[in-house]
Amino acid sequence: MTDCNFPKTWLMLWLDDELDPRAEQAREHLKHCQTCAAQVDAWRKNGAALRTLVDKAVGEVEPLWALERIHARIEATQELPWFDRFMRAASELLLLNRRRVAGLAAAAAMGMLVAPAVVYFAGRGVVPELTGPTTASVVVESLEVGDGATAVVLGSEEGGSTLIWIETDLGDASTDEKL
Amino acid sequence: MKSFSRGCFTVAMLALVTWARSASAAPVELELRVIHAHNNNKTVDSKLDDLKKHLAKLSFTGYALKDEAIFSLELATAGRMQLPNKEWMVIRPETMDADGKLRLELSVEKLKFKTTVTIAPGGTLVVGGPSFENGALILAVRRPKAT
Repeated sequence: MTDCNFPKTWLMLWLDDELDPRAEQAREHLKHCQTCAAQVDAWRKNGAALRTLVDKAVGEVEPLWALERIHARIEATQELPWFDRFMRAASELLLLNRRRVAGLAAAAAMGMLVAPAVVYFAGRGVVPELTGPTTASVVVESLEVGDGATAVVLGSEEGGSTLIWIETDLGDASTDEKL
Repeated sequence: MKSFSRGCFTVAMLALVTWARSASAAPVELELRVIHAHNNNKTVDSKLDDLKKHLAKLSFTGYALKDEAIFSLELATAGRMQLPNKEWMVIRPETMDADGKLRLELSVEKLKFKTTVTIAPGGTLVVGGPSFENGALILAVRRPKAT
């Protein structure tokens, strides 16, 4: 195997299917040189063994067939409209985590039903306390009385209440004296 | 999957409608007291203690509680009550302000009396004057703190 001086690099160019004049010379040389032919055959076997080794090593992390499927699916998914992609992802999520998704959906539904009631009852209890009696708990916006009647508006010292007193011509005369 | 999405959407819509109905349909509670102010004696009904400072401004000697009622009214809904002098009093909560104050209309038709007031929780409106049995009638409308 060592008695031929033909350049090994030229043989490699031919082995790699390079479009090079030296590769063509190597092809012609291999037709009659058994030594170089045996050398090329050995390289082929070693190359095949090396590729198998690499495939096995990568396969421990992720089988190559699985990677190919994943790549194929990514490409197919990227071609889908966004809504279909969302529905597909949701569907897979539901299938893979059915119990968790069902629990979350039930919790969300309960929350939607209970939250309004909490807000409603909390509002009834809290808001009036925050807006309790102030200096103007009662404000008279408008006041109408019949002909011949008079109305007097009085506020209390605390401001928690307001008194409107109506005097009428038909009423007891002593009422006027009461104010 | 589509039926699951539709189910979630339906539940959400029902919850929203329930919340909207409960928020808008909350009734307003109002306590009404009808008082007879007189000079027959010096007795003041113990249920009128919270009005004593108001009543002290008047020169009547005695105050008797003639009637009392609690109205639970929705906004824009009127409540009616007959007074001892056979006149009808109408009370109508109109709107609720953002700060919790209630706009309230009170009227006595025969007297041609009508007033609109805003009343905060805990506030009391006292209206007096119509003559009755050698004295006068007084109406006290209180909005409890809890409404």
